[in-house]
Parts: sequence; structure tokens; C-alpha cells
Amino acid sequence: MKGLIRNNFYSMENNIKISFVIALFLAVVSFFVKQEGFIQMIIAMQLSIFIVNVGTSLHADVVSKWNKFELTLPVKSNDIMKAKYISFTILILLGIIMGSITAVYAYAANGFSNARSICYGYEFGLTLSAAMAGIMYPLMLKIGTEKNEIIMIVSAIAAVGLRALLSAVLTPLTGEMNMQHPLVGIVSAIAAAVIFIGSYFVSVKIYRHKEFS
Amino acid sequence: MSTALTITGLTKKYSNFTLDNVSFSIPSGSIVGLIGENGAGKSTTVNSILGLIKKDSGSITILGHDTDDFDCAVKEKVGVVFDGSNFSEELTPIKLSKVLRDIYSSWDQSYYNSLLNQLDIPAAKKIKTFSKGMKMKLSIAAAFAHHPHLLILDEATSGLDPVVRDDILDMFLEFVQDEEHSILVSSHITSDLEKVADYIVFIHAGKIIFCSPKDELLEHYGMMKCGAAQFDAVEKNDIVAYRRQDYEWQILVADREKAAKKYPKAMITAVTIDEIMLLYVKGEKE
Repeated sequence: MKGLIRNNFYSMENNIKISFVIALFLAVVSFFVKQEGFIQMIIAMQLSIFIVNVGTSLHADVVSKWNKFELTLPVKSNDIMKAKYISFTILILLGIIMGSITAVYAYAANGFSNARSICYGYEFGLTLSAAMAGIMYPLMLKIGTEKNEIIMIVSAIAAVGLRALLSAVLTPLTGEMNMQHPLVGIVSAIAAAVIFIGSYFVSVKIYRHKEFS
Repeated sequence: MSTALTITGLTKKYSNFTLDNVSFSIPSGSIVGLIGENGAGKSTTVNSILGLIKKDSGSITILGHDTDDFDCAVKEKVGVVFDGSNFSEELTPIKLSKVLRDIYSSWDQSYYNSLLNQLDIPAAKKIKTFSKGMKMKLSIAAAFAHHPHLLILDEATSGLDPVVRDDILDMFLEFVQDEEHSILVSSHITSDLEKVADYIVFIHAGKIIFCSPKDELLEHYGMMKCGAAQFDAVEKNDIVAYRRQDYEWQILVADREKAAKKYPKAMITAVTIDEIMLLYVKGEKE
């Protein structure tokens, strides 16, 4: 499985570098911007910027026919999917690390005064990245990667929609439909994590029934 | 004689094509060439063998194991090369070896390095900068480097220049020398198969037309060239396939010695695999 994960990262290497540069630029921007609203959006963007490479990864596999070839390797089909989802988890972790640069600086500059804003950035970023990956990958596996940009946009909209839906569902507990409420943030992040984990099992099932001609 | 691969009654139905009851085997230590025109069913056969598509019926046994319970230990002993590159374009041959050595327990790094040298493959360049022939050579090097017992190659020599193709074919011949290794090579370049194959499996419209030792085919089959009057005189049972070209009739016969004795005035020549395939596909049958 180590080889499969290594291959995933080699094929995304260039795009990951670009994501790093963008995340680093956003971190630098955060040093000069004091508004809490910007800080939380920068953290959310840093958390989710790496996960857009999920589409790149699968598209590269299809173009090079690696997705067909890897089935002939001495690995179980479950392990191929596991390697993919471990790679996605690492991408999310990379986002968390980059987001933490912004969070640490914001804390150093202003203390805990904007802690809620930082938390919101993490919650929203995690919801966006985990739900996006969880929705995007099985969809691409099922219908192909030709329309990967559209699938990515649909996944992002679905991830935001998830948060909106939960804020509506949780109205009796939060008092009003408030997407920035801490409870909505935490429940959304947990729901996105559940989608991500569930997506693995869906992908395994799709992969087992997929034919490569 | 033990077999490296046995296919019995393999059937796969699509809406517009059926791979129909395909059966053949690869004796250990031999090279079997799978030939047929585009869309004949070569890739469907290869993909079924490798479990990339699900067969409707039939059985496939590789190195004594049924592919329905194909485990990693068996896959370790099978090398695969598809048409074109199989690897991410962003990789270099060095990075590729780092990927594959973590996957194959039998990966032989020094042998891989020597193959890269032998085939003039730049180790540090990205695969996306390679020509089609270079990508194919890399795929073949990677397939050899884990010491497989069975090599399955789908159009592996296409895109290679004649010199490199010759080198690769020599590698195939060397590979099967010890009688334990075997190769299934699907190709439309029948001249390559004439050089290296021990057996020829000819598939047409999803059905196996013949599966015979290559030498037997080249030794016995013949092409009778004659005019209309002589064609009418030929017994229909002696005609495998025929076609008319302008004023000449070309008749494929299964036993050219017998035909030469029976029709002494006819000109009967030896045939190539290409000509056999051509007459079967484009010719008419009695």
C-alpha cells in the first residue's frame, strides 16, 4: 500500500506544490489583514485548497491508464481504495498545517480575542474539504473524470449546502438559522467526516463492480 | 506438459459484441501469439484474463490458480504490459521504481537499472517527455524487473522502431529459455509473432478460429493462386477461405503439399501469418 500512496503523491506533486504556494500566500496575506471575517475565510481556504487535487489524482490515473494497471498489481482492490483515502486524509492534514500558520499568527497578534473566528475557519474548512472529497471521488469513479471540474464545483456546493441544511435543522437548538453558530460548525464538521468515511465504502463498492476495458 | 494459462469456454457478452466460448492454453516455456483484427476480441480476452472485466461464463486458470480467487501471490508472478504507458506521466523511471519496489516483493532494483541502461531509457526524465516507443520500453522493463513467470502483453511492440522491437523480441525469447516462463502476446504485428511465437491463436469476431503451433501453420498452410476456371475445379472441401483480386483467385489451403499433388497445374506458395489472417478476415468461406 505504501507504493500506491507514493504513486498518488508523485502524480499530484506539481499540483500540491501549487496548492502550497497559494496556501503560503494566503498565510502571508493574513499577516496584514486584521478583520476576523477574512482570517476565518483564509483558514477555511487553506484547509480545502489541497483537497481539490483529488480530481487531478483520479484524472491522472485515467489518462495514464494507471487505474487499469494497478488492478494487475499484487495488491487487494480494497487496498487501492484505502491508499486513495489515506492520501486524501494526508491532503486534508496538509491543509490543517497550513491553516495553523495563519491561526498561530492570528493568536500571536491578537491573543484569544478572535478565537471563535479561527474555530469557524477550521470547522468550515474541514466541512468543505472532507465533504468535497467524500462526494467528489465516488462520483468521478462512477461517471468518469471527463467532467471533473463540474463534479468538483457540485461537490463544493453540496458541502456548503450541508452546512446550510444543518443550520436549518439545528434551529430549535441555536435559536435562529445561523451558519456561524458553534454547534452548526461542529455538527457540520462531524457530518462531513461521516460522509468522508462512508464515501470510502461506497467507492470500494463502485470499484469492485467497475470494468476496465 | 504443464500450462501457465488455461482458458476454457470464456464468454463475455456486450450489446454489440460477444466473446464466444474462447478456449486455449499456454504451455509453460512457450510464447503464444494472440492475433486478430481490431475489435476481434483480443483485448477483451486479455482483460478477462487479468480480471479487469467480469466474464459471463467460463474458467481461467493462471499458474494453477483459478482467477476467480486470484490472490496477490499469483499476481506477483504475472507481468503485464498494455498498449501505451501504464504509469503516471509525472513520474520518472527512478520514481516509478520507488513505487513498484514497495508493491512487488520480488522487485529486482539492479536488474531494473540494467534494463534501463540496456534499453537506453533516461532514468531521471519525466515519463511525459518520452516517445511512445520509450514509454513502451519502460513498461516492458518494469514488467521484467519483478521476475514474473507469465508475461501478458497487449500490443507491446507497437510504436517501437524495428531495431528496438528486435531487441525486445530477443528478450522475450531469452525469457522463455528455462521452460518455466511463458508469454501471451496479443499483437497485430504478425511478423513479430512469426519470429518468436510457438503457438498462434487466431481470434475473429469473438471466436477462436484456430489455435495451432506456428511452425505447423507455416509449414502446412498455402496460398493457391489461379484463374476462374481453375477455381471452379477446386473441391470446396479443400478451400479454407478465398478471395478474388482482379482476375486472380487466392485460395487458402490447409495442406499445401496435398493441394500441390491434387492440383499440379496450380501455383501454390507458402503463406505468412498475415496472409492467413487476411484471407480469413477478408476472404469468403465455402
